Amino acid sequence: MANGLLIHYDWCSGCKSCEMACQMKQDLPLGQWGIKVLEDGPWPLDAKDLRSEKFYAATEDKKAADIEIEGSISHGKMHWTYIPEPTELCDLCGDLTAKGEVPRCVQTCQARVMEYGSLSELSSRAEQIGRRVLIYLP
Amino acid sequence: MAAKPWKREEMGETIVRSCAWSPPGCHPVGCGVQLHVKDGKLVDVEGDPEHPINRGALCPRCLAIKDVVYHKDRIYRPQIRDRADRGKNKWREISLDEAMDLLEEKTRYFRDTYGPESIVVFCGTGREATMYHNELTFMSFGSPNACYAQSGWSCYAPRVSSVAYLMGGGYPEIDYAARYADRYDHEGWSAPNYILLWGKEPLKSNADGFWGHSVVDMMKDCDTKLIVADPRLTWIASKADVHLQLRPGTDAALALSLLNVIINEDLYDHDAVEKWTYGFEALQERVQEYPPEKVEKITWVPAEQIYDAARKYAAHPEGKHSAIGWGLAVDQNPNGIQVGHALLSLIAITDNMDVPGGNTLGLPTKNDTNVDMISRAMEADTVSKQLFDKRIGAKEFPFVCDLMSTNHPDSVLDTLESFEPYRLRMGVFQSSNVVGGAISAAQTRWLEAMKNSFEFACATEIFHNPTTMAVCDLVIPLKTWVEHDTLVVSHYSFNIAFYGMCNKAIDVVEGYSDLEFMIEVGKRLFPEYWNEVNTPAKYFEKYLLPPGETFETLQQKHTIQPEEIYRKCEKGLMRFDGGLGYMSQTGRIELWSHAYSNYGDDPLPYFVEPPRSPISTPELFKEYPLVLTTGGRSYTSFHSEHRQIDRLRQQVKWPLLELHPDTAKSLGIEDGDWAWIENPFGRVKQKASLTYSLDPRVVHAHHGWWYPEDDPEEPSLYGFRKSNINVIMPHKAIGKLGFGDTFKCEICKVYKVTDDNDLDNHLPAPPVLAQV
Ligand code: SF4
Ligand code: SF4
Ligand code: SF4
Repeated sequence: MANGLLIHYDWCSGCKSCEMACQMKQDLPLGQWGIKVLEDGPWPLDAKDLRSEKFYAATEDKKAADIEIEGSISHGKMHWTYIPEPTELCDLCGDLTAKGEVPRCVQTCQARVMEYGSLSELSSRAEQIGRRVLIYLP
Repeated sequence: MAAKPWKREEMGETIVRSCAWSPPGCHPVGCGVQLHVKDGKLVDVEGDPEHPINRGALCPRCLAIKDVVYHKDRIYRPQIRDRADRGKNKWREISLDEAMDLLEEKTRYFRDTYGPESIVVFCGTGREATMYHNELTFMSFGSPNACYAQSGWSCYAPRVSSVAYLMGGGYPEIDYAARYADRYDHEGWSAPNYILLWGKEPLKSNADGFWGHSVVDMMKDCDTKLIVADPRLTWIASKADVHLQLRPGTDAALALSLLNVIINEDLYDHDAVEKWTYGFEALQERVQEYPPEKVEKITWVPAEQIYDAARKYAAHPEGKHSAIGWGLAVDQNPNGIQVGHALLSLIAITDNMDVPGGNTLGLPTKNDTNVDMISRAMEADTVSKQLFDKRIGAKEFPFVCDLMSTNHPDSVLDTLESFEPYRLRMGVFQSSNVVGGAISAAQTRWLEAMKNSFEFACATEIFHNPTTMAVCDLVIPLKTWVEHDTLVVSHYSFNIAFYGMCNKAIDVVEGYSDLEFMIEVGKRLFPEYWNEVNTPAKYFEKYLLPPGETFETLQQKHTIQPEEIYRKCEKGLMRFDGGLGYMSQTGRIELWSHAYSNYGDDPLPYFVEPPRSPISTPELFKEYPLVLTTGGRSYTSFHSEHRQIDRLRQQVKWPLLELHPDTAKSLGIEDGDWAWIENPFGRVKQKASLTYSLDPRVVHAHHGWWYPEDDPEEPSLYGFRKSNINVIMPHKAIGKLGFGDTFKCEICKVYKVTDDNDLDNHLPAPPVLAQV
C-alpha cells in the first residue's frame, strides 16, 4: 500500500518551513526542493474588489497624484491559499519513517497541517477533515 | 513517555536539545530545537516535538542556522582597523585577549579623560542582548548612556510603559495555554472566543516571545474566531470574521470607537468596571466624541464593521472570553500611548483581563532590567546619581526615561550632531546596526554624526554590516545561539510562558555571547560588582531563575512553565505589598490616568492625526498622494538580519513595495518593477509587488534592507541607501511624551525606476543567487 502526505491546505500559512526543512535535511542545492509552496491570492471572491469600483470612479484616467477618494471602502471576502507541492525529489523521508519517526516536513510544519500515512489512513483522515485537503503520493 | 535528556548519543551523533533565541535574532520565543553534532560540527537541525510551545515546528530561520554558523563572511576572530580606514574593508585579526585589552584601555581613557558619560552603548531589538543592555552600560562600562536607537523608543517599550503607568506592570498577552504542559487540552482552560489582532502579524513576527502560529492552532482546533485591525490584509486576516482595514495611524480613533459602541450599548462588564477600574465615567464621556459614523470618515473603516467588531469582542458566549494581541503598530505611532491606553481599557471593561481565553497577565517583576537597573547601579556605585542626571534626553522626556532607564534615542542623534550638552566620544554596538538596520530613522544622519562624534567605536557582531563598516575600529565576534549556554525567558520576563535552556552544542568563534561579554567587560572595570556573579550560570541564579532553581536543574528540566494563575488582582498578587488590585496610584486599572496627567498629557485616550497625512497636511499630500506604512515582517529575516543567507534569500530575495494593482496601473508600474518611494526626506527603491491586500490609497514598504553582496566600503556601505526605508523615515516625529514614531503612518509618492531617473546607477548589484 502506498504511503503519502496529507495536507490540510485550508490552514497552510505559507510559512515555507516545509521547503526549508526538506532542503536542509536532504542537503539540496539552492533552487532545488523536495517540496515547494505555491501561492494563490489574495484575490477578491466577489466579481470585483469592492475597492476598485470606487477607485476607478475616482481615478478614471487620472494619475495617482490626482486620486481623491474619501471615506471608507472595504474589501469583500478574499481568496488566499497556499498549496505545498511535493516534487520528484521527495522520498517521503524513508530514513526517518524506517526509524518510526515522521517525515521532516510533517514535524516542522508550523500550522500542523501535514500528516504522513498510508493512502487508506489518509483517505479516512481527509474524509474526517472534510474540506480543502490534499493527498499526495509523490 | 519520559522526556528525552538534554543531550544524547544516537548513531554516532550527539543530539543536543535546546531553546533558540539569538543571535541571529529572534524574540525570546525559545522554540525547541534538536541540534545534531558530529565530530564537533553541526550537521542537522530539527524541531523538538517535546517542547511545550512549538512542539516540533520551526521557522525557516532556525532551520537554516547551519548556513549562518559556518558562513564564509562570519566574523570568526576579533578584528581591528585603523581609524583612518573607517569605511574601508581593511581589517586585521587579533586575539580575544588583545581585543579586550584594547577595549579596556579605551574605556578607561574616555572615562578618565572626558567622563563615563562620553561612552554610549547601543543595543538593537529583540535579541538576547536586550536583556542585558542597561546592565552592560551601567555596570560594565559605567556609563549612564544606554541607547536603543529607534526613534521614539517605538518597540514594545510604549506598550510595556502604558501597562506600567496604568496598572503597575505585567504584560497582557493572548492566552495561548502556554503555561500548561498539556497546552490546549488542559482541563479548565478555555480557548479565546475571539482573538483581536491589532497591528500585529504574529505568525511572521512571533513578537515578544508569543509563538505566532498558536493563533492558527486555536482557530483550527479550538473554535477560536478572529478579528483583525490592520491596514494590510495578512494571510491570517483573510481568515478573520471582521477585518478592520484602517488607514495607517488612525488606530486610536478606531479603538475609541469600539469603546464607544461597547459602552453605549451597555456591553461592558459592570462588576469588572466597578471593582477594578478607575475613571469610567470620564472615559464614557470621552468616547462620545468617537461614534462609528464619524470614525468611519477618519479611519476608512465602515461604521457597520466597527459595530460588528465591538459586539463580537465584548460578547461572552457560554462564559468565554476574548483576547487582544497588540502589536508594533501601537508603538510606531506618535499617538501610540493613547492606542495602548484605549486597548487596555477595552480589555479591562469587558472583563477580559487575566482570565482563561482572555489576556493573560505577567506578575509584576522585581529586579526588572529596565526600571530597577538605575537603583541597582547606584547601589553598586558603578554610576552615580550625578552621572544619571546627565543621561541624554532624560530631563526632556521623563515619561520615557523614568521607566526605560535608557537615554532618549532621538536626543542622542541631536547630541551626536551638536556635541550638546557634551560630546559622545566612544560608541559600543551590541547587536545593533544603526546605519542600515531596521530601527533607526534618518540613517544617513546617524552615519555622519557617529563618524564625526566617535573617536573610538566597537561592536560585537556575527557579521559585518553597514554600521561596523562605517564607524567601528574594533569588532568582537558573537557566538550564535548554538554556541553558548543561556536562559530564554519568554516576553523578556514581563509575562513568562516558560523558562527555557539554550544549550551550547558547538564551538566556532573566538568570541563571546552577549552575557559573557557583559561579564568579561565588567570583571575588568568593576571587579567588586562582577566577581560574585562571574559566570552566566551564577548570573541566572542570582537574577533570573525562579527561586530554588539552578542552572543545572533547568538544564535537566529543559523548560519550566510557571503556574498559570488567573484573576491575580483578586488574590493580592499584582501588588508587591500583597494588597488587592493593581499597583497604580488608585490600585485599579486607570481608564483616567493619574500618571499620564502628572507627566503632562491628557489623562484619557484621544486621537490625533499623524504629522503627515491626507487630513493633517492636505497640500503636502497632493505631492505625496499615498499613505505609507512600513515594516511588515517576513519569515526569512529577523529585521535587518539574515540578508546574507542565500537559502533564505531564495524565499524572499528583494525588499518589496506592496501596492494595489489599480494603484500600480495608474502609475504605470508592473509586478516586479523597481519603484522609487519618495517622501520629503528622500527616496529609496524597492521591487513592486502587486497585491489586493492593500487599500488602493495605501502602500507598504519592507524595512531594514541592505545588501551584503554589495560593495562593503563607503560610499556604498553594502548599498543600504538604495532600499532601506528607514533612510527616509523622519527624525524625532515622536509623540508628546517622547514615545512613538511615524514608521507606520507616513505619506509618499511612488514612481517607476528608469535609466533616466537612476543616473547614479545604484541599482542593487547582480543577484548572488545564480540558481534562483
Ligand atoms: S517527506 Fe521528506 S522528502 Fe518529502 S517533502 Fe517532506 S521532508 Fe521532503
Ligand atoms: S510548513 Fe506547513 S504551514 Fe508552512 S508552508 Fe509548509 S505546509 Fe504550509
Ligand atoms: S520563532 Fe522561529 S526563528 Fe524564532 S526561535 Fe522559533 S523557530 Fe526560531
